[in-house]
Amino acid sequence: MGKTIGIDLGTTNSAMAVLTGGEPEVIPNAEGGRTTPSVVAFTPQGERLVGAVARRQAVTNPQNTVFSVKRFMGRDTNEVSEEQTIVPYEVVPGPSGDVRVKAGDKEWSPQEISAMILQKIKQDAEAFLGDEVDGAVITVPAYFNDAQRQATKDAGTIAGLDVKRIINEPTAAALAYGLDKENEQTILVFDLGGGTFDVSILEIGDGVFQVKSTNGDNHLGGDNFDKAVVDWMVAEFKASQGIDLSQDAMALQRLYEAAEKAKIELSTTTSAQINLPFITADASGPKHLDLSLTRAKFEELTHALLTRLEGPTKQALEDAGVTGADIDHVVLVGGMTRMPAVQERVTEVTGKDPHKGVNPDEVVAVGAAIQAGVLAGDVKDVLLLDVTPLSLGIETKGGVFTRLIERNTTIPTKKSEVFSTAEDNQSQVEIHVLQGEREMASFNRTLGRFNLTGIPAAPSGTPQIEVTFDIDANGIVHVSAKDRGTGNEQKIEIKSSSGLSDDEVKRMVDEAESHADDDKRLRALADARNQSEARVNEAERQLKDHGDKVDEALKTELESAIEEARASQSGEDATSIEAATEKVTQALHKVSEQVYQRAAAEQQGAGDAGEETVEDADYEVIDEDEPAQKA
Amino acid sequence: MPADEAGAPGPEGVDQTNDDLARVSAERDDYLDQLQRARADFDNYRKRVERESPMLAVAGVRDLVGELLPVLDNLERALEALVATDDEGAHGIVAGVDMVRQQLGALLVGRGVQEIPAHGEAFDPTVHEAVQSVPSPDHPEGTVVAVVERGYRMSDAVIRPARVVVSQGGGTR
Repeated sequence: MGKTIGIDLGTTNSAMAVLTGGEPEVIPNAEGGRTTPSVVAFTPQGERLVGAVARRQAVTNPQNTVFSVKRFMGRDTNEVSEEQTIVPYEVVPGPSGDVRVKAGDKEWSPQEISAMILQKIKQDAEAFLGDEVDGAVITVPAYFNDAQRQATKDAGTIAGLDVKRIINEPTAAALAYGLDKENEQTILVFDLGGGTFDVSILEIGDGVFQVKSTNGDNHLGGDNFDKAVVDWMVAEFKASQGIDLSQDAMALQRLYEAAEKAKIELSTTTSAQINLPFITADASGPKHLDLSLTRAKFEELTHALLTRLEGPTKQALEDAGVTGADIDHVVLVGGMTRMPAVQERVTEVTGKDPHKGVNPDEVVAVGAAIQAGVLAGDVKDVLLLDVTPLSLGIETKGGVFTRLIERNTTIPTKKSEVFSTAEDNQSQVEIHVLQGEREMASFNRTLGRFNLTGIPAAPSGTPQIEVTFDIDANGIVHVSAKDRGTGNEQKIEIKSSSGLSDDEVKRMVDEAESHADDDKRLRALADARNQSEARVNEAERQLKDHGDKVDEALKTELESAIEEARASQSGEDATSIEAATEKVTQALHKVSEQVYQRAAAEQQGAGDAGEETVEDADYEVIDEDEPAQKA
Repeated sequence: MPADEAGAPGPEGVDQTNDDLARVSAERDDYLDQLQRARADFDNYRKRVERESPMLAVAGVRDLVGELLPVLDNLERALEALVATDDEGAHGIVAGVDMVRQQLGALLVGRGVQEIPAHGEAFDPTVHEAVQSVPSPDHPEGTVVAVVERGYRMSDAVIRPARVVVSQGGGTR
């Protein structure tokens, strides 16, 4: 059985998404785009092109390049007299008066053209998913009638897709935000795309959506906003340079690109720089366009367009018999709704802040994918996978909290790490199990503690103690510690790890954030002390073993470095501890060098020299060892 | 007769056990199905991530290159403007700016960026974007007669198609 995907079959662009492991994901097309132009072209060579490729050749082949075919889906020729005149390709009546498109020396039904778009979508999705795609949920505008819906379904069938359901675009958008789980809610879906504007009022009850009203403007969208900016740039340039750029096709192209870029920038910044060097030239030399567009100016330029949003919105509310105050949720669709002034208009009418988080260009496809998942049974019975709300770990040397499982890890999960002893001949370690986000153990929440005993006498850092955290699907944490040398094992089961309320979890996370700097300092201090102690221990061992083999001066140097390092450890400054540790390291290097040289000179045997090298390597390992377990 | 079983189940007990068995079997099938789906989803996801991860590294470079291209365009415009002047003193500047352009060009080539051949080529919408179509008696139909903006690719991916003017062929016919 193949996959079922969600498809937003748009007038200008289409998008697709799929549910993977219960999460919706937008599928990019073969060219890497997250949307695919809804354009089909028939070349003189008899080739069929779909998507961006078809759009790029449109001006060379206008009669055989079909776009906006959605406007003809399920319509009769007598219903589309206006649309017919806008498109450059030929629209003819079919046998029953339905619309046919003449392109590539053939007559096609709009269903067939749409099927070609759907076929590309299907193929690209299969290539991306590495799996067969045989089912689809396709979205249509809420105002589509039965014939238009049937035509859309037929297009899917022609493309080899089992159309599981046709759903309304605003419903899909609401599904993307999980609003079907609410009861008795009124939702306003505000869809401002590239070229069309739609407002829908939905009501949800018992998981069923009902469209109460729709309204809009078929010729209002992002393109109008771009044009407003371009007109302004042309006027500004004319005023300052006396040259009319609107007559220069090449310059206009650059202006449109710059306008769109500035428009997008102004959604997040309050001012955008428009920089187009060498935009044109006259007798006096090259001319540059260099303008700054503020958000306020942009809103002023588009004021008339913004005002045009209000009428349909108010009408939709009126038709649904509700007022702005009755709206429980506002959902935004279409890239143009990223403009703050657009959002403000919606908020003014409804008094509600819109839902955010899902990309407005993709929200319809995402909702369709969720519906597809429900119909394929992926959602209905999906095991709810939980996550650990807080990190879990143990306390290690110096009071440091060492995480084994990071927060937000999906459970069930298991993780092991090997630790060691902090002191020579340490016979037991305490495993202090903690939960929280702070760097130091003492600030986190204790879940339990136990001892692993019977560790055979060995130098610090030698025993290998494997600590394993295992959280089962019910959130119960099993912690075990095992001495790899003896096979001795101790464990504990913690049931209360999830006994925290959401507020408590939030408080702990917030606290960690607000204390991040302090914690970092404490952690650095603990790390520096640990490092220093390990180095001092090593130095003392060297002195004991080889102290008689080095110059007195060198020995004194190392001894005083050790003294200094010890003294620094009680201080509170990580940097000075590190500096003192470094002195010990330097002195140690000199000692090792001399020991090695003398041994080599005395015995001239490679064997002994080799032995010393091994010891040196050993010392390096200790240097980088895991933080040792606290006694 | 196995009547000595604990609890001595009568016919109802057997029915009950059978019901339980049927329910548990159904549950088992359901769980197995879910497990298999989850495993399959994960396996496919893993394969996809493996397939994508080298592509993601390239995509990062590609995005940056894409944003750099207008800078290269403007350098070229600057050069054209400089060459067009009759000013003697401009020659040295032309040479210098051309070196800057070459420097940037070499950097991009080093990253595997190639210019898409366009002028005089047969129009190919996979790498060219037609901005205009003009009658041209000197060129066969479908030939690129002018390049408005150069196109670039990196390995197989088109970073930006070449913006071109395409011939309609034989003039007034």
